[in-house]
Amino acid sequence: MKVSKVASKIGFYLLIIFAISVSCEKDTEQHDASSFQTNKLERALMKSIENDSVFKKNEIQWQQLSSYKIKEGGYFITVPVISEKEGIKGKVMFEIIDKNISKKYLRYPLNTSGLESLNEQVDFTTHDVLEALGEKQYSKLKSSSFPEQCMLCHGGVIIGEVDVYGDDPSDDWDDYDYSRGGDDIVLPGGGIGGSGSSPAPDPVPAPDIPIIDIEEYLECLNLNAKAKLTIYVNQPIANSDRVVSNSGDVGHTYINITQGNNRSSFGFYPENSGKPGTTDNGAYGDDAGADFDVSISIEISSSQLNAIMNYITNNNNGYDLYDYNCTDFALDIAELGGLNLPDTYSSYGTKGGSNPGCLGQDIRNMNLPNGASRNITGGTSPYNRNDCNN
Amino acid sequence: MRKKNKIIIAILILIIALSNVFGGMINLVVLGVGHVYTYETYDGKYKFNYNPYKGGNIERLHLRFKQLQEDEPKYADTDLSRTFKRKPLHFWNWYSYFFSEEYNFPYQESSESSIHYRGLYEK
Repeated sequence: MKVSKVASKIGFYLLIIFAISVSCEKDTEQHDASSFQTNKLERALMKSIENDSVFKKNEIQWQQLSSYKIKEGGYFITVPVISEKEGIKGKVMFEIIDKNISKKYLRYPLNTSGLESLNEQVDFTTHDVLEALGEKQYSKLKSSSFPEQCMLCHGGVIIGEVDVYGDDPSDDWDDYDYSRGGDDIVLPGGGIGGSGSSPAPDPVPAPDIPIIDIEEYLECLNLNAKAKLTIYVNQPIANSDRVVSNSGDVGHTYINITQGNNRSSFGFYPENSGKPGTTDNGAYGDDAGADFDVSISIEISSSQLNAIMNYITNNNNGYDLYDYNCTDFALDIAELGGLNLPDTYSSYGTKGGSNPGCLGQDIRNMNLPNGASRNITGGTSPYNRNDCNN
Repeated sequence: MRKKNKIIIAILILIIALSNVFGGMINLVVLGVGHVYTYETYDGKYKFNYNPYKGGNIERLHLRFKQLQEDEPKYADTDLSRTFKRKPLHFWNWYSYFFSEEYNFPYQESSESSIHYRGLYEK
């Protein structure tokens, strides 16, 4: 009796420690800006750049983007412009004041007179940018209704644009003091997802090697030629259908497309944490040189390659460990390539889903279709090679 | 009273030991399959992720850093640093904090402007 009382007390205290531990999760361990939030911003802001007569699209260094929260409500975004041949050329800036729907596109080339505000080139949707910045209240708005959250920006009075840049834009932009022009701007202690005290969005995890633009990643593929498709399966425990290892590894299924000397390995990942039972945005990650336990390959025709490319580039599925994970993605690709693989569900504890453990065992044990080959000894996927002149 | 304390301590040790055996599972539930450990070069220019919950192998992290050292020789005699901290309250990770390779890097604050270094490629 005494022992059970003691045990229940211990359980209670451990529960409290566990709760405190979990609630402290975001206190200090923060990652840097998420590439995929940057990618969303890039998509949202790209149109303004496309018509730019001074800077070229491929010179915009989206991965070095910085965002700053404006106290009165809104964001200031800067992106450096660097040319491979000419070096640093300047930067582009975007400003959004969310309370009055004011937005600006500004250009600051180093070799000209200075900052230019190009209102005629403003071509982005405020909602998209704010959503990409993590302002969730702006997402999923329905045009047919006027939900309460629209009042956040559409309900106010338009008060005009606010100058937050100071009065001497010819200063070295690397040393630019964003606190000038009053106390309008608060540095959030990081780019997107910084860990400062401002309400900037939390940073998020990403694949090991995020692929920012899948079309660019696969640009060297000749869609008029055949290719070889390989499905790689990294099981949680080699040669076992267990869905998760003791170390918490759920494994990974990814694909490789090889054409001539070019080859690319990649897979489907959650853009954020991908916690079990939640649906996260999906993201592609580079898997060159990644481990695998079993693989299956087949030659695909140009039409099958086109179908696969179409699926990959238009894949809007979110990542859900149970309903659409890396294995589901690979199974869909395999099917488009004429490879019908078994789709065995197994339970992750509370709910089942396709998984690398079962798929690996299925591939080991299945009868190979005509033209397919399989590797059951494992290894690592080949390094990528992408030479468009190949 | 002494006996009671001994029992409490024994049970605590047992729970902590077991939680460390299954620490990865706990992290999987608490952090999610997409959680990555991040590392950066000394100057904060490049960052590298490592995700052990989706089949990741830390050897690939080392291979990628080696590739960077070959691509940019200024990193030749440098090491990667981790940009995540040990959290004392995460008792289920105590063993990992001392013995897992992902923590076996010096710590540095993460840089605001670091970019992901590319994946492995054939030169």
